[in-house]
Amino acid sequence: MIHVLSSYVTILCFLPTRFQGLPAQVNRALDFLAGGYVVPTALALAALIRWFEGATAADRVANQRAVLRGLVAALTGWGLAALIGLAWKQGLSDPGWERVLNDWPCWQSLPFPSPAAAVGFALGTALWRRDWHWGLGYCLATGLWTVSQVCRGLHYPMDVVVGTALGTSLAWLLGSAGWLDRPLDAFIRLARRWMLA
Amino acid sequence: MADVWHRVLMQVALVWRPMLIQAALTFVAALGAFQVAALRNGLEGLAWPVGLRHKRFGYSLAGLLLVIALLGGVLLALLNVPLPPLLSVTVLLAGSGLALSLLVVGAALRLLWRKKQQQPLPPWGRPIQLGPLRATFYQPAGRRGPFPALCLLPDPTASGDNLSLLVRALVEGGIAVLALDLQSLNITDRLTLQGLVSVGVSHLAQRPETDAERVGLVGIGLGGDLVLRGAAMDPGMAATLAIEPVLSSDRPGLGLETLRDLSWFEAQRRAHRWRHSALVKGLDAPTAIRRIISRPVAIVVGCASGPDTAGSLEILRVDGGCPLTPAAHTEALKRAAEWLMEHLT
Repeated sequence: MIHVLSSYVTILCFLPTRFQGLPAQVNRALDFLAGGYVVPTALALAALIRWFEGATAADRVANQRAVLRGLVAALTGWGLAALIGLAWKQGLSDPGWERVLNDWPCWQSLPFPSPAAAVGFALGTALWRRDWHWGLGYCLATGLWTVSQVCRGLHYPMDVVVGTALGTSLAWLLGSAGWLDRPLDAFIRLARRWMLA
Repeated sequence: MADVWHRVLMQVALVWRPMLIQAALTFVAALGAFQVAALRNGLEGLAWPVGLRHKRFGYSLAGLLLVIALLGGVLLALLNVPLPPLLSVTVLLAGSGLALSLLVVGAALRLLWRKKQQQPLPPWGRPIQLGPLRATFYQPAGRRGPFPALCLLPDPTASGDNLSLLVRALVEGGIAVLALDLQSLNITDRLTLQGLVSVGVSHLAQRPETDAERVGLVGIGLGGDLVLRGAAMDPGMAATLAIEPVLSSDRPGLGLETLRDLSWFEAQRRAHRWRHSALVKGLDAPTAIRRIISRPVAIVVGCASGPDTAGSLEILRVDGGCPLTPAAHTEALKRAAEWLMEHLT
């Protein structure tokens, strides 16, 4: 396990150290992007706009299904990322590990899949299946968010890679799941009763 | 449990300032996003403070709100107290929910104000009492009769529909109109309503100003279903037009399309009446259509796709959502008036 962990931490770990020497303004801009407000709010509001889009009622329902699938995938991805992080924590709870890890030059904290990448790419992939323009927009915004998180040392680069793989694969799997249509349509019907779908 | 609550409260105490700022910024951003969604999809019932008539201004305002919300993020970055993810989600939902509520209420007030500003029914109408039924007769001014005539049926489940645009267009086009006031009776019994339609048509045929050979029927919403049934029973009808009739008892409920013309509250009221109206179940207009042979009969619908005829039925399509809200839809009413003038004058 120590080899896996060592590779995980050292692969591409030069990024945070390189970015520490940047001017304060750049670091402030990265903080702005890496935080939990700008990009996530933009992604959520874009999903909201997408929810209302559609030239015909059938188009709109298809868009709403895509948004809901994206949300289901995003929530599942978020939960899984948190569980994997918890598993790492449990696995490395021995004080002996702590001594070893703290000696590593690139060690910052316990690795866990980036929830930002899992959530953003899950939404992006789900929307891509319906309209690639929207999907691309989501993926670019999420890319910007996660890269700035890596640059500010909030995540290891491999966290982002794992989070991306998690979110994308989940969204792809749930996008093809026919059994999901029924509960999603029930939700849309409920929203329709409230004139919101 | 007490320990958990204590920890939650401690965390909130630490982050209350960035939390409030983020909630305010999210609220502003959501206002902008909802405004964009309303303008892009023609949803009058969500557009506030600017309606669809001033799209450019609306987009500028939405853009400004979104830029303010985005730049406000710098303030959060300077505070450098990140909110826990779950708290962020709560703040996002609260801000968006508040923005949606404000838009729904604001748009309702704007539409109410606009309705008050609308022209009332033409003042030259003469009130008529047909037994228990109240009606108003409109006659083309400055012309010599006999005129072709129409019996106009509003939707019995939708009070407050303003039909002045349709009445005005028809009267100015040389057609006399007898507008029935079905709301005055508060009757939802199908047979009684059908009887009242016959009474209206007979009255029109007997008036000296009207041409008994050119009497038609026009109905809106459920009134449309009633006129289709009326035309099937009365072979003397010169033309029949139903504007967005219900047609089916298993029609899906009203949804977002309704907000194209109505406020959220009005749409809810209408949906409630439809769901609980026995008339929707009782009227079987598709069967009635099949019985109307060799006479002009048409329906105006907002659904963009589908055939333009079905047997002897002509289907006039307008771009207004599916289903559209006929009494508030100018294009549908204009199209209806044109068709009626073509077939009656």
